[in-house]
Amino acid sequence: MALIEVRNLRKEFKRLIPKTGFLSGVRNLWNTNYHTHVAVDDITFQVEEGEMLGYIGPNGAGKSTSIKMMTGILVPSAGEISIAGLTPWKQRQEHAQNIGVVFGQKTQLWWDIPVIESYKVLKTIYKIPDNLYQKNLNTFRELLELHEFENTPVRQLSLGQRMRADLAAAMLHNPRILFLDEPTIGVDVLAKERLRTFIREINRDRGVTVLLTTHDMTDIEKLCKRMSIIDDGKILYDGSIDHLKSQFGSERTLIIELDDAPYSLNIPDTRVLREEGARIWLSYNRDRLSASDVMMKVAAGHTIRDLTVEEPEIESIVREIYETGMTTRQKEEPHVAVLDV
Amino acid sequence: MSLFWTFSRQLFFQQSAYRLNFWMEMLGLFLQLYVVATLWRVLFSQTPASFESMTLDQMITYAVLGMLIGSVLSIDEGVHTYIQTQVRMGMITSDLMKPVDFMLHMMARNFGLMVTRICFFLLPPLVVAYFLFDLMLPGPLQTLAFVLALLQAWVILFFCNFLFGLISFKTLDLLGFMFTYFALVRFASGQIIPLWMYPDVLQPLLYALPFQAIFYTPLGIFTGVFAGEQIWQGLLIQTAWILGLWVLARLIWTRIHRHLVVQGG
Amino acid sequence: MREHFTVYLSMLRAAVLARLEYRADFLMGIAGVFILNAGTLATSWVLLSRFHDLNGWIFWEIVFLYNLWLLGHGIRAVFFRHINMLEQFIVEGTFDQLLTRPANPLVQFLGREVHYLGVGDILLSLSMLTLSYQNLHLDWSWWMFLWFGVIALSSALVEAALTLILACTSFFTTRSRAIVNAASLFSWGVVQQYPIDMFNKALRGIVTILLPFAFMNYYPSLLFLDKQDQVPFGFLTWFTPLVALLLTLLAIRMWNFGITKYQSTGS
Repeated sequence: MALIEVRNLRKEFKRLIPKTGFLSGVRNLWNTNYHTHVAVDDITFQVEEGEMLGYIGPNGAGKSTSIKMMTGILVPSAGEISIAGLTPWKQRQEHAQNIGVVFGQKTQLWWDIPVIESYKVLKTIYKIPDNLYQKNLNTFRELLELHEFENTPVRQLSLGQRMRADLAAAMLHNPRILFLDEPTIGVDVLAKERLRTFIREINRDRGVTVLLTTHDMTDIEKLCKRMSIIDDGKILYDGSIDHLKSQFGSERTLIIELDDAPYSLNIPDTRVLREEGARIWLSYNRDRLSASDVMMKVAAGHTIRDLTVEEPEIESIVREIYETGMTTRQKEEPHVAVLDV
Repeated sequence: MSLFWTFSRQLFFQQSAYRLNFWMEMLGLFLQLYVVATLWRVLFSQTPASFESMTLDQMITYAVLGMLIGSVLSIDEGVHTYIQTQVRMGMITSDLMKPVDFMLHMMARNFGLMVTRICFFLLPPLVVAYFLFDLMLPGPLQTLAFVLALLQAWVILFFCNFLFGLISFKTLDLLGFMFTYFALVRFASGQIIPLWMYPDVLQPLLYALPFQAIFYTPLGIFTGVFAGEQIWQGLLIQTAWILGLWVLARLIWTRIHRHLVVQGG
Repeated sequence: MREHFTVYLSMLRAAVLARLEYRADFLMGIAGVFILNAGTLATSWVLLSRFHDLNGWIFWEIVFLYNLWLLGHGIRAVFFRHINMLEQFIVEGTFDQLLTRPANPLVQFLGREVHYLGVGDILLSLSMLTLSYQNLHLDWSWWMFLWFGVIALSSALVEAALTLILACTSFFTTRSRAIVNAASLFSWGVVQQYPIDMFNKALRGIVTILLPFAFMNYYPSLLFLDKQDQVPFGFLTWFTPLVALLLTLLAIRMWNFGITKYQSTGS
């Protein structure tokens, strides 16, 4: 059995439908019209021990709701979750001992007291033995450079520091599973890198299973082998990132450097994205043209000095998936990424 | 004038969005009305002589109406709380940059708030209270004087709140002073007890403050505690306070404004 | 139980440390409370200097009644003022955190904050109670003082539990503040300053049974002021600790029920 098993998970919310039109404000005083909003719609997936799963989707897609169900905050309307053999909302306290949670938007720590004092409270709540607490604290001091700010109240920390403090807090009791909800939101590039290194290390060295949501695709690319894309409460994609790249993203860009200035480059079915001196960015649809087709057509009228095919950005693939949904697509063998002439 | 209505409309719709709040506030209001009415009934049945020429009907009308207009002439929410929030959030400069006079702008905002509260929190409960507590109704001339007095009272309260709110430019926070202001206005305005019932030693002090013109004057006119010449005197005293407070507010505001501009906000 | 206590103490320590960061608010809070209550008491004084008594309660008896309420309220405010803010805890997501930790959410919630404002209430009420004790020429035996201590704590518990029961509506609707405010009006707008025997049966019933705030000050005062034989239901003067206990149990049930509701609706 996998460490995390989610089967046919569903969550509905009721929302008030506000009245509009004549005297709407007054009539809203006794409004009782609700409609049912399905936030999570029949989701099934598994996560193996030691895996790192990137869980992405646009705002309001149902990410947070599913995380809330997996962490025991919400009870599903239907379906099952079993995490390390426990049902989160039924065995909430035992389950809490197994997991660590970081919400990027909201600190777990006490706003007005030094970070280290918050840790002391968590030590009591999680019943962490003295030696384990000291050992973990020392490890995190080293990995996250906590000593820089452990005696500072959280409200005076930078966002990056706060996130480091929060990560350490979530790991103090040696959880088997770490839920990270947008852990890099608003953090600068350097600090993001530090957070990612830490997450990678605890996954590698401690075998902690990580479930991560983010809007930053770099997080996913640098951390996870596998990702799940959710939108409108449904899972649109669940698989490896490499597979995603090969399967989706039919727009490719060919960067060509010519000997002559490409004033009159006009190839059917392609689009000039950018020109810079002798370099030109040509976009084409992989489903209709191959790189060699484009190359040959260019070579017919110009001398090519250099040529590169740009891999599609994972971000644009994901955007494409959100936009088109999971329509059936032609499956094609991945192209050779770089051509040298 | 159109500025006034734009703000009024906006606030009106904001207010009506809070439906449960509305019903709960109504419940609370009628509880308070019942409490004050009972208080005076008990006191009247004990010692009617202490009420001198005032009848029980007059007294109950005074107390109930005092409570009701209290929701329009609000001390806990108004221009002072607005200024405080803006100053603390550092957003007051955006108000100052608007191409309208700040004081006028504030008045327009509050006018909107008042209109909203009259429609929701004064008129409907007033009708209900009229039947529930057998309120007295004044004659047409008195009614006219009352409306005039209420309007002037609103202007006076606006200036008091405005002047009080200016403190936040100095201290950034009003909370501590807020309690003092709140207690003072409630005590010295005659909203709960008609001012003539206060001990003689306090009388000169009460009349030296503008707060009596906010509640005591309109309530006195409505209930007939003020009669004949007293009505006109009361209205004139209100007007005098308005002029005085207006000049004072202008003076202080100009100084603060100049100071802010020099500092660059 | 012992585990709850350990968690509570540890959270309380953090809450105190947090509050100490804002020392300046301390004096401001105390001053504010003094002024606000002085205003209310001054109004009572104006009334009673003209009318002598209110349904048989003279000025210093009213002062006693008022400040017994204030004492219980103050104790509650120091430790449990944030019960009123449950709605905010839920909206801002602080409450969700409590659910992801291996400890009782109620214990965690109650220990989350302490407040200064109540300190002013306690200081003021104790001094005013002393003044009225002298002015009313009371003469209690030692067990009466002991009973007074029990009452003060029970009174705080009555208010805390009642507020918690009402605040639990946040679990069903996000607009619980209006309900809490309206209900607490029965507390500070009715029982705080008026002897409830002056009101009709309906209102007396409400503050005795439905929202039993009257057990905070009115009923216990009857014994302290030796009035229990002069008013109907005077025997209830002995019931405050029992009411406090029952309300606390009810509040805990309500809280647990509310959490399950919240977890399934996520409102």
